[in-house]
Amino acid sequence: MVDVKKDKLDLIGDNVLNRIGFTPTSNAVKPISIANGLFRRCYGEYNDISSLHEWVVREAKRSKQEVNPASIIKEKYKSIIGEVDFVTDEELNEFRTILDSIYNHDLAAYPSPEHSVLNISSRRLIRSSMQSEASIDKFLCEVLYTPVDGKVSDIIEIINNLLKDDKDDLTRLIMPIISTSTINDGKSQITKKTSAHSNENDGILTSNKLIIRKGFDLIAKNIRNAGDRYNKLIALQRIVNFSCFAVIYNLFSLNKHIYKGNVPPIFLDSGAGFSSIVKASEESFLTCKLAVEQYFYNDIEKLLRQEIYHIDSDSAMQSYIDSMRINDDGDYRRKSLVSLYQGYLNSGLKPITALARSIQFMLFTDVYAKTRTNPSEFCSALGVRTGLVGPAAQQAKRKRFLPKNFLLETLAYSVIDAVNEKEGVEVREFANRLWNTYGIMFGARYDEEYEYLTQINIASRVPGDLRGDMAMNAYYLTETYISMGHGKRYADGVATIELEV
Amino acid sequence: MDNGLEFVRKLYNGRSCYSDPLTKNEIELIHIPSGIEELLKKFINEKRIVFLTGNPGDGKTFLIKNLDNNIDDSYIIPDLNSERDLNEVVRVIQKAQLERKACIIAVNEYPLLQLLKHLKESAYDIYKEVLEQRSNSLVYDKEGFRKNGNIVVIDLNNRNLLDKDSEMANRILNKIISLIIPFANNNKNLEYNINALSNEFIKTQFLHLFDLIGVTGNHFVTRDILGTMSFILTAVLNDDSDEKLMYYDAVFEGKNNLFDSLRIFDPAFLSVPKIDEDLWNGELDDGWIIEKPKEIPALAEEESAYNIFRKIKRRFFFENKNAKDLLGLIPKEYKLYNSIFSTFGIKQERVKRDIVEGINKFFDNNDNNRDKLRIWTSLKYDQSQENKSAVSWKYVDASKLEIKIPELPAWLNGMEYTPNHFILRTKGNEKAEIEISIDFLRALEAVKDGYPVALIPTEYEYKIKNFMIKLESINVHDSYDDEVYLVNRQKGYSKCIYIKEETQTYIFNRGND
Repeated sequence: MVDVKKDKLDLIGDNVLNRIGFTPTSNAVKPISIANGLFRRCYGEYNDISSLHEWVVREAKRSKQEVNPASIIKEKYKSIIGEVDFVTDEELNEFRTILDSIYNHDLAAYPSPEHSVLNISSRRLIRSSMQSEASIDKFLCEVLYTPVDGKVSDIIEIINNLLKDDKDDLTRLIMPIISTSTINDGKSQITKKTSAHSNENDGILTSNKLIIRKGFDLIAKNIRNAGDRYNKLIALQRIVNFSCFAVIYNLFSLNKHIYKGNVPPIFLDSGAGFSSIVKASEESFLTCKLAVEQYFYNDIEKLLRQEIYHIDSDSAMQSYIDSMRINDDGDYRRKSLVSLYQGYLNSGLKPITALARSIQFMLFTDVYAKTRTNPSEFCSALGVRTGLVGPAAQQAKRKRFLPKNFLLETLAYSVIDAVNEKEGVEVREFANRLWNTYGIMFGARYDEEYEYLTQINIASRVPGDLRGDMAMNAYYLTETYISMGHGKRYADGVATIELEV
Repeated sequence: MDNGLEFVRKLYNGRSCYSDPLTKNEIELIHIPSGIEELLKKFINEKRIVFLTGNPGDGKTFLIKNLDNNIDDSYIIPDLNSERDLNEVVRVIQKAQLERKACIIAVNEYPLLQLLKHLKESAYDIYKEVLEQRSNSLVYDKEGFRKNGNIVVIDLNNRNLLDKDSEMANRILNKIISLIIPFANNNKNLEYNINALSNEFIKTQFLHLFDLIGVTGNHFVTRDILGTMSFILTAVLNDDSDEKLMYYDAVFEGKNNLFDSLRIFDPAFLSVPKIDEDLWNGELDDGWIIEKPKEIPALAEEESAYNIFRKIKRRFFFENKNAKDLLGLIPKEYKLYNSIFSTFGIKQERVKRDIVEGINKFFDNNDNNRDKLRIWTSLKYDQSQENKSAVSWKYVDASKLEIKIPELPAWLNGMEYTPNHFILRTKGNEKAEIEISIDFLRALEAVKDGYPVALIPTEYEYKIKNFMIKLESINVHDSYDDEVYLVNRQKGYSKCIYIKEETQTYIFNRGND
């Protein structure tokens, strides 16, 4: 078997990904995989979930081939099935179907348990490390464990307390399976310790990571202050939801934080049906994805400058391309790179910038396209699962920022202190916070927002009365918060966003 | 037309009716004494610090202007909304407290919140008291909440002028009639309207509509009711023939929020086939209080036949003794809702069980249980997917739930008030509650009767789920003996299995699914 070593393009890509801190190049990354990694790092344990996996996965989704027939389950697990001889396959499979809809809710269970992760309601469902975690757990834990004002994030302790409790209704349902697994010869579920996360670098968080950290800390404060009133499972969902949002936000904003690029606007569409808002949100989504690409080529250019010692000439770039080791059959890829480089050079870019852009383009369309996805499309896929991007349908050609209610709540919990701001926060102030923190806009500050959208050439691409519709978009988004019990509209025109502790 | 009549006509849609531009005489002309005025006078005599809050048009300015001689030696801030220096306002309040003088501050809801921020800094005790009274402007256990000190917060949002006891609608109607009666001789239609709405039977039918609106939860201020009555009586004087409406049409054709609520009960949409047929053919002769309508829809031109029929149907509702049959067609939830506040015991118990069944069915449309409110749990991390399934190990017995109707705190007795919601909550010290409005009750009744859950507004879905979360977090629930209920909402089926936790064993085929 030929061991195909990584070529120069791979290495350059890896270099950039290392600085990002995780690997956003797979569509298999789901919220549940992020949850698994984060929970494992915080809790310091993982378990063998293969027995539950056997119960949940009945057939391969695509081939519909039966994987774990009921007869096998009955035989293997007869010690936990009362009067097993009188239990029909149909009865058992009916139960397994419901288990599947609960524990495979996020569709992350496959025929092989090695690549599967099941819904995590407590520590008992945390499994070992998987490729689909994409090192996001490491990135998040760096944010959470780096001391700020001398302390690690409170969210760690909250996560651990929530996971420790395995008396919740969902875990109780599957305790017979996971606690007396016959795979382990009747022994109780195997639990393994993993080393607690330790930061290799106990330094300072960069600005983008600090913003994420502040969001986590405020969510932790709000959960803690709610005490017993805060439902455990909702709390876990909240934390994971914010984690997913943080990953996407990080990718969108890296270029702004590191290379002083424009703020990529996350323009939320309230879903009220204004065509100008739909279009503006679509354009802002494209701009955010472009920001990811901009970060990549800016970072590649920085790397090239280090390697080529600041020689910025066409001949130097051509030599560099010639010297690159590229896995290629018939030199096709190298020729493609040269062609791209020439195109960018002819458009007026400096040689080193032209080369950086061509390498970025090759990474996104060639290197990452083979079996995976590129980082900007990663944001789209994960964004849908986070409830930030929509419509969810795969056939939908143009995506935009169409937030689900749960994410709207999560965002509010990350910028509003429910204890000290009991009376609520005016919508305009809420909008200020979302903009200043995450670059989110929804029309509540329509003058400033319209001006910004004009400045970055989004407004000019939107037909209709965008400015007028923005105010209405803000109205309807506020109504969404109010309908969830998180806001109030006063007769003198003021509306506030309020969170219950 | 005389200025008096013109003044009344302009009451419609607020052209006469913000107290600020009205003269003292004009205020006196439309003044309807109300319980809140006596309360205010009492608080002034008791030297209290009164925060009179609400929304624009609630009558704050009017109430203060009407205090007249009572306010000497008191501090009055008639409109905090226009005060720029809130610190100065705080100083005035503190001064009043120190000097033991009465102080009245009229302030809209949101500016009050801004004032509270300043009070928090400089007068924490006052801030705390105001905040607490604001949070408890309605109480469910009158004995439970006690006012401290001499602060009083009156929230006019809670003032319901369509409160049955105060008969405000009747009094406003009589007031408007008294203002326009001098002009009736000049106009036969105006005279007709006045005579009709002075007739006891017709007036009863007319005012019954306002009683029904009183429980819908919509807030109407004096201005709304004055304007509405004005239009109903005087629309017949409009110059444009399309807008010349007799009272029985005007009730359902006006344009303001109160008219929107009245339209829900438009008799044109309440159908009793025999009555409709007779009215259409002009064959309903009996029961007319004034006179039988001369027009016959069946003989009219096609384009105008329906409009004529609608007019006659409305007249029938008000002016025929047999119209009580139409009232029976009003949506049952309005009558049910109304009855909750006026009767106790059996009716409330029935409503409680209906709600339990409705919430159970929200999660599992096969669940008819009225005795046990199941507590459902689900979990999803992927927000692009709807919650497919849920699990229930616990329930709250219906006997541990109670319906509570909100009341005004004891010191506000006398203010016009009709509850526009009730709560279903757990008994005992630990409380979980859910607020039920008329529309929410209608939604739950619909779900109970088999209506698809997917069509329930998001707002109610959230309320139910939040209620579940609260129930889960307090210690009032019971567990089934070994039973676990599972529901797949996506596919619409449910299952009961048994788990013996002592032996960690599943039992699939004991009992019924």
